[in-house]
Amino acid sequence: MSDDVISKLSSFIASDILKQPGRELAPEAPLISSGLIDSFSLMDIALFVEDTFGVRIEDTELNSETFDTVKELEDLIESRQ
Amino acid sequence: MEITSFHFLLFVLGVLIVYHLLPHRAQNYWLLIASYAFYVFWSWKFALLLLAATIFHFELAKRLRRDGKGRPILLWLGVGANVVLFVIFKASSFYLSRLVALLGQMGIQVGLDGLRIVIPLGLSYYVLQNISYLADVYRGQIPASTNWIDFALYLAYFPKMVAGPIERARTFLPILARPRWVDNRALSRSVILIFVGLTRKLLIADLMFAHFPWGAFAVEPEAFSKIELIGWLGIYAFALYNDFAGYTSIVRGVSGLFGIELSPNFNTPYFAKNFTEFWNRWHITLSHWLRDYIFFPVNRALARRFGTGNRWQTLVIPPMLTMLVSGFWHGPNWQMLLWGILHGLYLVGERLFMLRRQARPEGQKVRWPSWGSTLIVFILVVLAWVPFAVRIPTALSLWNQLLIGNVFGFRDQGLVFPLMVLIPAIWLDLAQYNKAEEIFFLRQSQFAQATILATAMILILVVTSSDAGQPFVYQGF
Amino acid sequence: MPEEIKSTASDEYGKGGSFAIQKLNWRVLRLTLILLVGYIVLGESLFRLDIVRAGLTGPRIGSRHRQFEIQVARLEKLVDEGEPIDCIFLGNSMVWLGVNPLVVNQAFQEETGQEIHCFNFGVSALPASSAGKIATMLVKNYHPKVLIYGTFARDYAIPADADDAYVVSDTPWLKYQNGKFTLEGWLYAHSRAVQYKGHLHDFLLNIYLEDVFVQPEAPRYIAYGLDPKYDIRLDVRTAPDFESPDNRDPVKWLGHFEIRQENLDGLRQVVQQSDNGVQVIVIEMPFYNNAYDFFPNGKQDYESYFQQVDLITASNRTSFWQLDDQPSLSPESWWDYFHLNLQGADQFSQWLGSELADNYLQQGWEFSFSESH
Repeated sequence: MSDDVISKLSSFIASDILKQPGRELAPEAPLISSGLIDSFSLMDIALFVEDTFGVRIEDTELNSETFDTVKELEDLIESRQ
Repeated sequence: MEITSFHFLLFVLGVLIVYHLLPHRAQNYWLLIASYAFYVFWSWKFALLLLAATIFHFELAKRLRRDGKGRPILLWLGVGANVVLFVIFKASSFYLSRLVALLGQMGIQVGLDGLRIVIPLGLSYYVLQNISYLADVYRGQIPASTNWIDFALYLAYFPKMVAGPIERARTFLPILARPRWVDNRALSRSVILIFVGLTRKLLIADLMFAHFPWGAFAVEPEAFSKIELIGWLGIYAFALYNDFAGYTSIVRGVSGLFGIELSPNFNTPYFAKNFTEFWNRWHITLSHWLRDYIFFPVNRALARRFGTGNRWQTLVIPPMLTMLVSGFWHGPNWQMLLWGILHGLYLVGERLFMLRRQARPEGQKVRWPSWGSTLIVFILVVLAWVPFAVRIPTALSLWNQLLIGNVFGFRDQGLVFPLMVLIPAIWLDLAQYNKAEEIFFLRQSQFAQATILATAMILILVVTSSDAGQPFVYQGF
Repeated sequence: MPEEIKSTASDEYGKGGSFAIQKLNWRVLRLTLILLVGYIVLGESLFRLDIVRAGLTGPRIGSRHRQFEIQVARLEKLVDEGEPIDCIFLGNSMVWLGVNPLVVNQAFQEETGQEIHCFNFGVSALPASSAGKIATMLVKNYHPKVLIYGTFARDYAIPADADDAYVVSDTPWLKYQNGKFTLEGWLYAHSRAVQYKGHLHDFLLNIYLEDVFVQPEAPRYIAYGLDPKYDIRLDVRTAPDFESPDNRDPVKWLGHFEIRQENLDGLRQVVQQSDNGVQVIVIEMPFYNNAYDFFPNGKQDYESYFQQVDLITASNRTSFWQLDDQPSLSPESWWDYFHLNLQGADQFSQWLGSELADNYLQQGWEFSFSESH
């Protein structure tokens, strides 16, 4: 289940956000603090998570303190399902 | 009471001594009393306003949710009240003369003097804190506070009252709720923060501002050559930054002596490589507030309406609106709005640039050196500071002189000393780059630490001790 | 729904309470203290070097009355440069704007063949109560042969607690010179670091008060205390406009004219400097005759002050040079009803120098004036 979540998230981020469909994203690689993902893209991710997993991420949670890696995002989703 | 004054030092020492003799719950009462005493020193009327605002928000928050759901009407009532309060006081220069003219047309004569409105201390800041509290309670992210003392202290806490940082109830109330202590590390950190802050404010910013040719700059920028303008704008940029960063450092250090950690507000912003990074380094608590309560909600609503995937609506409207609100909050006047518009355009432009770059295959992407990006961001930020410093017609003239003017010489010897002050200013930023503020100091040898402290203390003493108090003004005899 | 915000730790937090400091790093603190002392010693030594002080204006005294401080600084600077100080003119702004020591010297020299080195210690708004304290300080520190107090009715109307008086008399350094010890007074009197820290302060904060710096191209009389007016502010031929802000000060103090005891005491303190071997002269400072209009009872009020001064000078056998003996000055010589402009100051100073010369020759003052370099 969680691998499925991680692969869906990684795939979405790589293709829709980074525009690099083949790119492998390590689950532990920092996304926000490294500058890979900016504020514009964070909302796209939040809406994707809402539509795909039915989990809402609040506006005040869209920052590296709440989640910075794919793994941390996956943990957040699982904790709210 | 200026935070760099001797009176403030005595005040803090007095509050601190009693504070550490008290048990935890009593400490919060004591801090609340001290905070209101600090506020009343400025104005008892504004203290009453703060008290009224505290009661209003405390009671309103308790009613914001019912049956597990937020009640939007009450939220908008609360937000609206804060916006109205803000506009009444801060926009008074905007509307006052127009209001007087309108009343005049209706046959009501009002002398302008009688209607001069003074802005309550810290209003701009506690209004934002109020709104964030209400929004977070509404969304169920935090429960409404049931502890009136802690809530009142959250709004009135004196170290952050004058100019922030803007704290969220979500992080601040738990700090107030739990016992705090100050160990060796916290003490040395606080002392270093205070010294760094005093150095930034008194030895860098004040010195630079004192040498700045305000008169000529505001009236006749054409009198300066291109090189001189660049030099003065660079000085202005660093003076503005060090003034505010210095203030934040001082209040964070003071707050640390009470065991209460305030959020950082600056992180060597002029080293940012892009504007998103800049806004994560400059006035961080305000940027994050704008991001969380303006940018993201607007972005979310537009994305839901128009879809995701780089529509112009989600590309342009959220950053422009956010930066306009920021300008309005700083102002509100045309100069600040122009500054906001410029930064909005920077963000939109940067986003478009990034999208086009992403669209290029890997092999065709131009590799910049990161210092190149840093320089470009710095130049654009400095250009945007111009309406911060001068009125719009002068700003236009200044930009024209900078970009199109053809006078290059360097004749202004007044630039030399401030440029020399720039050297330690940049050194300090380099030393602090991407580290906690106090680390650079702790890594020095003990002798170096002592030298830095002693030199800073002597210079601060010289700069703050005018030989006499209020000078005597002779009236012609 | 998050839990209610409550403390997650017990209320007991360590034995030492919330101030949980253990061993402090005394070494850094000790080193800092040593370096601080080192800096102070450095400052103290540096400002004792003639070569350093030669490039600076004179020392500060920590007074709120900046112009008073400037006069002390100028006088100190002259002394530092080896200038002899034979005579000092003391008084309010009528003296400050109205006496040119260089012209006094020239006139004196023409008649006697000797030079007389004078300093203009006019202090804006100075009442007699403060003048007495300054006179004590001037005699004690500079040992002039002649002290000339130029006085006017206003000097006797200002209460000792009015800002005009207080701002001078409350200066700790001046109190120290008059025998009252304060730490601040002592420091300003003896510590070069304290006297010159203000220079560093002003340099860092880009503060340049126009009177302080004697630039090479500035007229030399500025170094001797005169800050003249070069124009005419009020046409003295027209009747005074009591509503005008330019006349606010004389309207306030002369309009309800009252002689205060503390000012008469101050005058006594001035004339009693003769006990210290100083030739004291009191001069009735000139004003344009329209100025009588400021007094409620015109010339009558003026006479009442005049008589008091006459009494006190006579009882101390001090010379009192009166208006009647002075040359009348044309309307173009006046900046306003009370103050001369530079043209008037030069004329008045010409007369002063000549009078001094006559007194010197006729009364056989038992001293000669210093040779200048």
